[in-house]
Amino acid sequence: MMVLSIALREFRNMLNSLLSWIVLSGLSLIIFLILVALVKAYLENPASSLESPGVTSTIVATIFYFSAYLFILIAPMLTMRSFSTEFKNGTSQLLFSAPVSMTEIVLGKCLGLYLFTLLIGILPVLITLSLVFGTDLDNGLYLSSLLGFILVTFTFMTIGVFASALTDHIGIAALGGLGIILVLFWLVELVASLVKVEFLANALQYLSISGHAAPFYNGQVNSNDVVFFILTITTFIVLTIRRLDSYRLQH
Amino acid sequence: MTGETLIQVEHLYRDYGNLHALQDINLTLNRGEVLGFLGPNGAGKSTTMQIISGNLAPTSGHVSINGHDLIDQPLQAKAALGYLPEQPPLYKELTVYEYLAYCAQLNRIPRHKAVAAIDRACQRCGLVDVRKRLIGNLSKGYQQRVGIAQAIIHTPDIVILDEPTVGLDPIQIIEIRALIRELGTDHSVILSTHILPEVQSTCDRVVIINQGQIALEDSLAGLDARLHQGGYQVALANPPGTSDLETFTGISKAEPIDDTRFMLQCEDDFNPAAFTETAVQRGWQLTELVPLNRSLEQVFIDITCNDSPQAGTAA
Repeated sequence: MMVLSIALREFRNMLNSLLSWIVLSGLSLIIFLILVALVKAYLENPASSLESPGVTSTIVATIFYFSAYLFILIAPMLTMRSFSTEFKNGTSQLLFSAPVSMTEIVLGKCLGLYLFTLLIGILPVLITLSLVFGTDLDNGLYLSSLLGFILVTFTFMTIGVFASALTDHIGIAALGGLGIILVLFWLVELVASLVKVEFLANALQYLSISGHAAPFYNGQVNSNDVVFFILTITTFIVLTIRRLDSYRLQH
Repeated sequence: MTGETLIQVEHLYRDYGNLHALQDINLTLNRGEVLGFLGPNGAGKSTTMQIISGNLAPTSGHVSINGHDLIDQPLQAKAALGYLPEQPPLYKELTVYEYLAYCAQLNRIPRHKAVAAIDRACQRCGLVDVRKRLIGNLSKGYQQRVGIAQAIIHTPDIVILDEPTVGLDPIQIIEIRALIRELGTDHSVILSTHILPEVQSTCDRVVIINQGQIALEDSLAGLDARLHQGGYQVALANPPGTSDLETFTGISKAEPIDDTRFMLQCEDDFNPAAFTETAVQRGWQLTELVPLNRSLEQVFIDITCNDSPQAGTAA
């Protein structure tokens, strides 16, 4: 109940913000351009045999893949204000002196941002569904790509919320979020390829977001990958709660 | 039920690195009481209030609100509390009504009672005419009122107001003070300020804090008594020497201001009626006898200055 109130407030906050709409319009333009490019490429070189990849895999999965990875930049921008501005404007004091637990505050904030992420997610869904007028889509692959998109974007958004709880400066919050996302998305994989110790390389490899996201766009939903994303999201939610608890100790 | 203790603060310490912002603060607040919390800038007023409201963790010490420990049972404790920080915690992009509706939800007011609660808070704080306007477009005084409305929307037992009249014009100050006085009838209020007349016009009891320590705790009546320990200014057309005046019971020192007027510093046993009689008998030709009240400012300065060496050694 309380979580929902905070979530709706955060969601409405996003709708009131100019930045959200700029992001939405920019994203729709980019996705549309990608679609045009992919469709053109596919028409010039269509699937020749049953084994070659079809429309769903070459166009739909790619669009979800790109959209999710655009969130490396979008998520920090959308989440940078979630706690930073509350600290800066002193409105965090409204939350902290109300009979609301830190867990409820963080879950509410995240839920509100997830709702907004789903709203953004309607864009790639609508754009890819437009292909239905010309061809048949692979429902299984479509849904697994969509699930991959949702899990990856939710993870990025949660990381952004955590970064925002670290500072009252939105610029630092955005950069911090971007930094953590890049490290988990890409850098761990790079380091893993350099590490010679097999155990360590495997451990680092396991932490890579891109490694766990890839199977979804091939139509595979592995419980291993789903659990990885749920664990990562939970970890950053818990870290954010801990961070808010300690915020009262130091400032 | 007056006399019931609502806030109990025991041995509160708070350090910022090497700076001891609070040292051994003990406070109680009883039901139906308006407690004035006075101190110069940087004395630790806001720090204390932030700790009581749960926004800041103390380094050590103990706060219990309505019998609930603030650390062990934070939700129950905070439910009894309304807090207006120094800077009102307002979402400027919301209308007054939207904002108060959100505050009502945060304070767990059931949905069917929320509208009535918002209406009541708007009425008490004089916000009825501006409830559809964006908070960011309101004047400072109205924003302050929205801040107070937020603190009282769930009719908490305790209302904590941190410098509620800062930056307001004189008429708004009078209105806010009247509102605080009114709140004092059915809530307990802690009011922090460095404006002394505010305390005189609104509070029942006063705590003066200086350099992180409590320098004085007294009822307003007790504080008033301190104010009268001033002296008298007399004008005598045919004055005796100052030494003659100083022989009179209760006069510790007489200082001439000009040829006919004197400043008398008096002890408690000075009797102005007896002095008048003596002046008549001896033919001093008394023309003026004006009691000099020490202003609250002087009391305040005395207390905060006298204590500073002691506090300095402690810090």
